[in-house]
Amino acid sequence: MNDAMDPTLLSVAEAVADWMPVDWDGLRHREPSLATRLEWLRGVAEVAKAHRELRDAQAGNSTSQVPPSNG
Amino acid sequence: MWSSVEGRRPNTSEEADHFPPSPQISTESLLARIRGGDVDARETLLARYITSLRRWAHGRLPTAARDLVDTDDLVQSTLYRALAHVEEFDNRGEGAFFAYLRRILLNQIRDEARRARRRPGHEALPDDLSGNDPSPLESLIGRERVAQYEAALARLIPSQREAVMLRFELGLRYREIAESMGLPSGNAARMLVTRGLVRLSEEMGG
Repeated sequence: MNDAMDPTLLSVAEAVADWMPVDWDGLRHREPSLATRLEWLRGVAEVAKAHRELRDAQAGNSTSQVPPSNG
Repeated sequence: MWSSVEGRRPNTSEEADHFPPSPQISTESLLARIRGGDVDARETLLARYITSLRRWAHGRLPTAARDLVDTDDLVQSTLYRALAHVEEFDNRGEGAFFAYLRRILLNQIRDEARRARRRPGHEALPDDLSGNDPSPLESLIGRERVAQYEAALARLIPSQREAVMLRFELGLRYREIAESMGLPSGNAARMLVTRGLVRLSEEMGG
């Protein structure tokens, strides 16, 4: 495992983990050397968003209490 | 919009630094108490996992399978079955119990689907439950992307895999992830998830 992860990628991953909006185009422009890895993280963000949508849909269909998923 | 990487993102709502110490105990501790006959610990563990398992099953099952089996019943049955055999559970660290529950649940779903398709009036459902009918997750992002995600997830180290699943798929708070995995704090859980996501992205894209 790579223990020395790039701090930019870690910061973006943290935002993804919290379902925060990310300015992908701006980041790619500012960090061209990370463009490919940012694109990979963007793919992960799409998966995260899909999971959240599913949970929200399920919560909407459920009468049970579902805890908020953000934070 | 979170676009800066030069400063800390403002705290959202939960986080660990200002969170009071959790009154809950880790899954590992609960399991130890259950083995000692503690009924309250058993109820606490059931309550902890029932919603998580329902959420997990909901996103993974194709529509045809959901029509054939009562997921809620299976989730309850899974939990009781797991607790009935808690002495045999080999705790291999963080997240092992949830992984154990998922395996039991999937086996139960497969068994039930086999039984259901033998009943008249039901279309055949293959053993792998996939068929041509997409799961809700596949409907949103495509079967190929889901397969890519699952394969990448499987290549993470167990603690990162568990933390990512608990955060993404079940939407747990960091504090809850920490409790479930026996981590010292919400911040520790946040770090584990964040690093897991970077690794996941490398596995998915690299």
